Amino acid sequence: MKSHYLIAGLIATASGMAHAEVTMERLLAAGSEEEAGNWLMIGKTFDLNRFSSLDQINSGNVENLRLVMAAPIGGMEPAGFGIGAMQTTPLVDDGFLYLSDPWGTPYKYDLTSETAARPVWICDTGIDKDPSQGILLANRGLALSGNNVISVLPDGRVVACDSDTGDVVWDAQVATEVGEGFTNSPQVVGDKIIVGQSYGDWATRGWIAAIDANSGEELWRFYTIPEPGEPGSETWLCEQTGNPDCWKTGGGAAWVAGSYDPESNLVFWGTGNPVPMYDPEYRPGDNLYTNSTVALDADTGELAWYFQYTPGDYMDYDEVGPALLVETNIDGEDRKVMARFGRNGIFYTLDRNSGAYINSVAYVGNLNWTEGIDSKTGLPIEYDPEADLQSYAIGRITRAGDTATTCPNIQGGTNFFPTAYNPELGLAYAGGIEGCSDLSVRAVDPDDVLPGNIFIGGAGVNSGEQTGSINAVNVSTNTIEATLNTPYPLYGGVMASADLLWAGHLDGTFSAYNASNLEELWSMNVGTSFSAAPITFLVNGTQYVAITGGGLGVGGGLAPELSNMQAANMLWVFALDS
Amino acid sequence: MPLSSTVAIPLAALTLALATLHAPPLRAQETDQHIGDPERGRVVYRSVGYCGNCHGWAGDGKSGTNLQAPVGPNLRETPLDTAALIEVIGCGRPGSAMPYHDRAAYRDGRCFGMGLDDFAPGNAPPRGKTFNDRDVANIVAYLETYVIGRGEPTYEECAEFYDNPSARACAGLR
Repeated sequence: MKSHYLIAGLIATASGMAHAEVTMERLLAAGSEEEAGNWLMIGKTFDLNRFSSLDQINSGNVENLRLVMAAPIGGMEPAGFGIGAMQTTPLVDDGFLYLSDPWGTPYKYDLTSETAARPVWICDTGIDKDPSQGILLANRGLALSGNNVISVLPDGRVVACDSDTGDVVWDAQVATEVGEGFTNSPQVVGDKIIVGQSYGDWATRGWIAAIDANSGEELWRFYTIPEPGEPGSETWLCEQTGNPDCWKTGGGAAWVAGSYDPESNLVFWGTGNPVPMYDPEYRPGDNLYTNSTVALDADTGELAWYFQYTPGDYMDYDEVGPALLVETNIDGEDRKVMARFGRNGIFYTLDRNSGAYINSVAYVGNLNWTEGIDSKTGLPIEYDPEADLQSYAIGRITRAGDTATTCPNIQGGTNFFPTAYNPELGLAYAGGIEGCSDLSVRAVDPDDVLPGNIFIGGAGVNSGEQTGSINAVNVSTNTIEATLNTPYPLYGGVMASADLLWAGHLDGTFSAYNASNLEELWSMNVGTSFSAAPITFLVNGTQYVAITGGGLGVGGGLAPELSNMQAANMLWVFALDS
Repeated sequence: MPLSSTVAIPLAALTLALATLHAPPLRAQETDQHIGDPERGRVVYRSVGYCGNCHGWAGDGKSGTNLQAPVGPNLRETPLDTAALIEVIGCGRPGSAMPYHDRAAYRDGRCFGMGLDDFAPGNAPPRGKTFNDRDVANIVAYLETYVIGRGEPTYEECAEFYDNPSARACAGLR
């Protein structure tokens, strides 16, 4: 018997053996040959390009892909708005895979057998899965920092779990106000972890904060809604409304983690819509810094620049989607740019050091809210800097009863959906929605606005059928290189590998496409709806592709014919048939 | 029992209902036999029918409504009487997003003498969660005991609704 204990002990030690610490040096080298087999950050690299150079699986053999491992994931307990969304991008280090469930609970799986995804640990964060809270429950991924796995939770805590044992190392209540919390993923930059308050539509004020990676202590905080007297506060004309505090519930949530440029030490985060989303009369003005990209100094949180895409928005065009950092040649000049698929249906390219507008191109098939973008400012041509309430090409929606139909759909275009960039082809990719929404206003008395309760001030409902598309944009030439139209909206992310593009669909289909022309080369329907992004990595030298699936969530509202699909949170792992 | 005068049924439905006097009696008559239990009704409202998605936990059409659901009328100020409540819960509101909860609502003519095929496209009420007659009586008892005429919702009501004094949904009311 003694020898059995000894063997068991050795196995336990081996499976729990520390992998190399995830240092800043490793993260900076995440796109290198040495790290090619790993996926250490949700975007693969700091530039959020979600590009892997691995090419064992390629356009010539992807037809031989098959499902090789699968594992159920927990976190199915519903919150007030139902079962949470499975939107996590898994991470992989040395054959071990980390992911989060919709309540932010981290899991570690051992894939090294190549025959099963065996759970190693589940980190018990002590989350109260209170079904009363009327929130959209989601978690978009974890971060690896040293020997810790970091997760952000819907209750406003940030938790560090030991990557070997799954024990909680520290636990910090970073968001403290009623209604605040997290749905995104943390961003590790050196000894800091940067997090974003995610529940803006629940009548809160958005912010981005850095905390100490070793203790959880808060180091700096940038509010996406300035308080009176601060720069940008002049764009909140709350006094006009008789409610001088309208900025306090102004939203601007930072609900998707940003990118990072080590050269400038800037992080690039997107911000959400002004709140209430459909009633600008509640919060007149341009509403800085909502619907913006903000570039912040990673050490201090100081604002280096901002770019607001849709000022004084009333179409719910959040701009939290990933900012791709790209090096390209534009008009004969090598440029370091930030390229983004806007939720408003327009693909933008900005100078990433200054925020200056370079160019843009509409990528959705039907865009009617603006006649175009001003070639100098990058702002919609209807934008009037003197106006308290903007009137875009679809006309205003008002408390007096004016309604409008906006295209794209209020959910985009793209949304939080992870995008990708293939530097070898110079193509940026995104999946999204093709369709329109009918908008109307429903005024709410400020006395009835309670943080923690959803506050939208009207309605944005599907206007007719909604379909989907994947677009490939040539960043250098600012042109759409390829478009794939899909029967259902895309509601998740894409991933680029050598000559392939990967995407999961709402109806449970996971597909690989030719990266140049988006021709479908392989697909398999596994039955779980997809709203996450895939990754690819090596285990013992063999290339795998993984993605998580779950319930329809909010995306289901775009495809009523799929409404009988049931939720089941799953990890799916694919490889070539050997 | 005739259709309650306080129920606003779309004209087309009303006309058809009055024109089909031979239709089976409204289900309200059947349900009148049950004495509702308001405590059970709260459970049905909260976690069987998920009525709060549209009406809010407080029934006011504001507190705790679901982002993905249409905003429902304020039940705290509803003019509907018992019979009308039973009818609307069972049959839904044609032409609105209010679903029907009677499993046979539009199968045997018990609701306005109509079948789902009798409605103009898009006008039929959607199918909601299915309640038995006893739970319809229970939910009406709940509304009449704890919701209708209750004014602004309070923290105490919220904590009682969720059976949890620290429910996050109630935090803003403290």
